[in-house]
Amino acid sequence: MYRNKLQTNIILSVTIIAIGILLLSLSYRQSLGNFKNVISMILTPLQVNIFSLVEPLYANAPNTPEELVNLNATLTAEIALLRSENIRMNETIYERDMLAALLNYTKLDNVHTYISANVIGKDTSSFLQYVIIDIGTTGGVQRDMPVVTDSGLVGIINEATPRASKILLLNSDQMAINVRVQNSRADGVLFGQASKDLRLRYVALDDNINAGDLVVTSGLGGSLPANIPVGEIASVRSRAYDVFQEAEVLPLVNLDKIEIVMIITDFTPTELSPLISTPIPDDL
Amino acid sequence: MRNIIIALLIIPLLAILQSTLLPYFNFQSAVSLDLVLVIVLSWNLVYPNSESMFWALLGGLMLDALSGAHMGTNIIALTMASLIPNLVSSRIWSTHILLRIFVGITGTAIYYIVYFILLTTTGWQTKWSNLPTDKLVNSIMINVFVMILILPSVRWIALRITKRNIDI
Repeated sequence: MYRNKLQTNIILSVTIIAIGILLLSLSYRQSLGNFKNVISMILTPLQVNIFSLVEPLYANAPNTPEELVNLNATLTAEIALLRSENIRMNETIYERDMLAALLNYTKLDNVHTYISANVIGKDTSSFLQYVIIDIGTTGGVQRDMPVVTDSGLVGIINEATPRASKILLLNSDQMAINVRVQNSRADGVLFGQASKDLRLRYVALDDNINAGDLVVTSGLGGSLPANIPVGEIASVRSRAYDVFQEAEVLPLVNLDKIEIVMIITDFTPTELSPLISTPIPDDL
Repeated sequence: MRNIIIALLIIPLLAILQSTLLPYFNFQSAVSLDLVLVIVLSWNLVYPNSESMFWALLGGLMLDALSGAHMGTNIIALTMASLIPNLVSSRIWSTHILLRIFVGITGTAIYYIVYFILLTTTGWQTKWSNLPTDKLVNSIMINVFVMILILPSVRWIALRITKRNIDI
């Protein structure tokens, strides 16, 4: 009797593991879109309702009236616009000097349109840096759209289902974004790390970067708009025998306590791969 | 069948609580309570039936849907973890405190190790050296503690919804 039960359980476990491997391989090839959409359609309404129930437990102000929440959201959006405008003006001053030398220089305007969304969940695994928001493709959200708060960049939309989306956070080890140090105009690449901090790499040794400098997106690579504030340099590691210098960067956004985010909807990431020349085969 | 219906009611709720409620508590940065893992291990311990393996499948599916990891990662990790209570448990010993502790420790360890292997193989940057100190030990302690607390309630539900077969 026990042996029969044992055999049945093992056969069932192997079957479930086989299903898991099949799903894993399909998901790895990104062929599970509709399947995930169906699960999301079931879970999202439940998640939104539970979120509204548990929100007062950890909200900054306990027993906040609805009007106050709406006002907060409006002010948050306004601060973001003002901050964006402030940065744009700093950039404009710098650009004016450059334009004097480069008459044909043109630059895209940095005013964006936003959709605000509530964070309704975080990744169920503490190893992965994702958050779930309550707006999906039906609200105009698409994969790869940048996500910001009033303080700066949060991440990018990694997955969008009809009613919810997942944001890959800035400090995820899957993230690498092209950035610029605002004062020195030094370009570099900012990497998220498994330890959740940010590391600025590939900054030329002759660039002068210091603790306290603001780091913004550079727009290089076309995956993010330029001049979104990202973080502040905490410390610099520059050694004469290194090829590049590195810096530790503290994100401007407290990524552990995000409640409302804004998605930049008017930015379309540029696909650069057709422009990259294919390597010439060795036998030619 | 009632076993599966209970799973359909409880597992999505716990997965959403794990995603929505738990991350906002301060202790979560140091200690990671895996609600779904704990309930799947507990259920398989008190009711080691082939139907109970469905709890692992459903739990994994829900966790994968709410996670950035590839679909299937949690299904495999949870199924392998739930094999331990499903195979070692018997009706007489399932309530023994040592068995609960053993299942909590081994189940959590297997879940995390399998999960980490799958993350690594699907392209995530994982730091194996940090696994024991950062998460595993703390998670084992909190999961075992919660499992000991909730097991009487889980057993109470299991006894009321399932047929009482006596295996000899």
